[in-house]
Amino acid sequence: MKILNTPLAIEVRTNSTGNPTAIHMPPSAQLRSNGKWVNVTKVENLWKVNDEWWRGPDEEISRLYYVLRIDSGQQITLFLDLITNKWYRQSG
Amino acid sequence: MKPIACLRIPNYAWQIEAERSPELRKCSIIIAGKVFDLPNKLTSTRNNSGIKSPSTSVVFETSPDLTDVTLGMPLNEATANHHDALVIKADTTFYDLVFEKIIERLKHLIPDIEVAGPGLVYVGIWGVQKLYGDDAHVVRLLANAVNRFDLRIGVGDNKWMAYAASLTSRANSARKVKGDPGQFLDKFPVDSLPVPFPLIKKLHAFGLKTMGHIADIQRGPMEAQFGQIGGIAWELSNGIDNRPLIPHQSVVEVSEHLDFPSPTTNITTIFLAVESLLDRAYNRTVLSDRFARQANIHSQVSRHIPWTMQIAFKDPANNKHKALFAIKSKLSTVSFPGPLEDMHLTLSGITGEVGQQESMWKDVKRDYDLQETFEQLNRRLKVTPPIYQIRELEPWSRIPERRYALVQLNTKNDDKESHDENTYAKR
Repeated sequence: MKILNTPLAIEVRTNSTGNPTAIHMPPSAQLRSNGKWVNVTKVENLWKVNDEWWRGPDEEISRLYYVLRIDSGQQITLFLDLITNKWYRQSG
Repeated sequence: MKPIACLRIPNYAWQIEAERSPELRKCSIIIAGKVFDLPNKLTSTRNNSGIKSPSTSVVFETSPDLTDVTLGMPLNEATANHHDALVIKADTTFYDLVFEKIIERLKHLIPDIEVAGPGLVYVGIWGVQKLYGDDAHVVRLLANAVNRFDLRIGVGDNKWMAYAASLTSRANSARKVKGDPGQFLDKFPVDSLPVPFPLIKKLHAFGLKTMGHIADIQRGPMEAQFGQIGGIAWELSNGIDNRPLIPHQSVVEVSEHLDFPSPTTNITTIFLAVESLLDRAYNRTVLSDRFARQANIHSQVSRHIPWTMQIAFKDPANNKHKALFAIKSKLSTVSFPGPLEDMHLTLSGITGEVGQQESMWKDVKRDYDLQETFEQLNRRLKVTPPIYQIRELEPWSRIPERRYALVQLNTKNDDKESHDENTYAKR
C-alpha cells in the first residue's frame, strides 16, 4: 500500500514576517523545473491545522499551510511544520 | 395447381471458376471447402455422411467430368481416386456475390423466388400469364436473366417435380412435366431422391432401383421398413411434395468496387481505397441516416486465391469515420496473401435505428471487465500486473496524506468484497 499525497521536504526562503519569498524546486519533469530557486509572487491563502494534540508533543500535528503563486504562474501548496520548523510541499 | 419453375445451374461453383479462368475448362477440377461451406440444398442431404469435424476438407463442387465424386465427400478420398484433378479452394463469398446478382435480376421479373442453395432457385410462375404470356414465355425470360451460365429449367406442379424436370432438361432449355407425375418419375433412378445416402443404399439392396419401383408399393410398408424418411421417399416417387415456396427475403446491402491501378500490398493505399469506398457507400441514399452492422471486403489477389475479410462492427456505424475506424483496426493486423488487384466493399445488416443495452448493475459489469483485463495482463506479463486502485482511508481527515492510499489490485479479494457488498445490498 502506498500513501497518496505524502509531504515532500522542500527548501524555502522567508522574509522577516516568516512568509515564503522563494522556493527551491527540485529537478522534476512533471513540474517543468530544473532545480532552481523560484520567486513567490503572491501568497493567495493560508490556514492552520492543529490536530492530535491529545497524543502529546511527539505526535501532535501543527501545520501552517500556504497557497502560493510563483513566477511561472503555477500554484503551489506548502506547509510549515510548526513542531519541527521544516517546510514541506503538499497539495491541500 | 400452381406451376413452379426450378432453375438449376449444374456445377455452379465450377461454372463460376471456369468463367473466371477459362483454362480450367480443359482439366478436371475439384473445388474443396469445409463441411460448413456445403449448401443445404435439396440435393445435398445425402452428402456429408461420415464426416466428423466441421473443419474437415470436403468436396464442395467438381467439374462435370468427375461424375463419381459426390459433393461432401472427404477431399483425400476424392483426390485418391483422381490424382490428376486440380484442387482449388472454394471462394464461397464470391459465389454468393454472383448468385445474389442473379437473384436480383430474377426478382425484377418475378418476386416469388426461393433460394434453395447456390445455383438452385424455385420460382413461382403462377399469375403472371397476363403480364408475360404463357409458361414458355416466362421461362424464356427467366433463362435470359441467367444467360451467362449453363442453365437447366424444369417446370412442375410442386418443387420436387420442377427439380426432377430440370434434371432431364438439356442445357439452356426447359422441360415441363405434363400428365401423371408418377409416370414421369417412373424411370428415374432412386439415386436422384433427396434422401440420406444410407437409405439410397438400402433401397438398392431391396431391389428398388427406380422411383417406379417405390411407387408400386404402398406407403405403409415403406414407412414400416425405412421409417419416416421412407414415407417421404414414397411421396416424392409419386410426385407428391407439399413443401411451400418460401420467398427469398431481400437483404439490403450496399456494395462499392474499385480497381487498383497496379496490384498493391501497401497498407496506406489499401486504407485509402477503403476510405474512398466507404465514402461512396455512405453517400448512397439507402444508407442516409442508417446504420451498417457489418462490412465485407473481397479482393482478387495476384496469382492467388481471392482474399476475403468480414468485419462485424461492435456498434453499428452510421458514417464512414466509425466504419473506417473499425475496419482499419482489423486491417492493420492482417497479412495479405499477395498484392490486391481490386476491392469490393459490401456494407450489410443495415438498420434504421440503433440501441445500446445498458447494464442495470454497471458496477458489477465494470468489476467484471476489470477482472478480465487483469487476468489477461497477468497471463501476458507472467507477473502480477502493476495495476493499482485508489482506496479511501480517512477521506474526512484534515491531514491530506491520511485520506487516500494506492493499493495493488487483487481481483480475487475484490470479487469477494463486491460479492459481500451485493449480499449486503440485497438484505
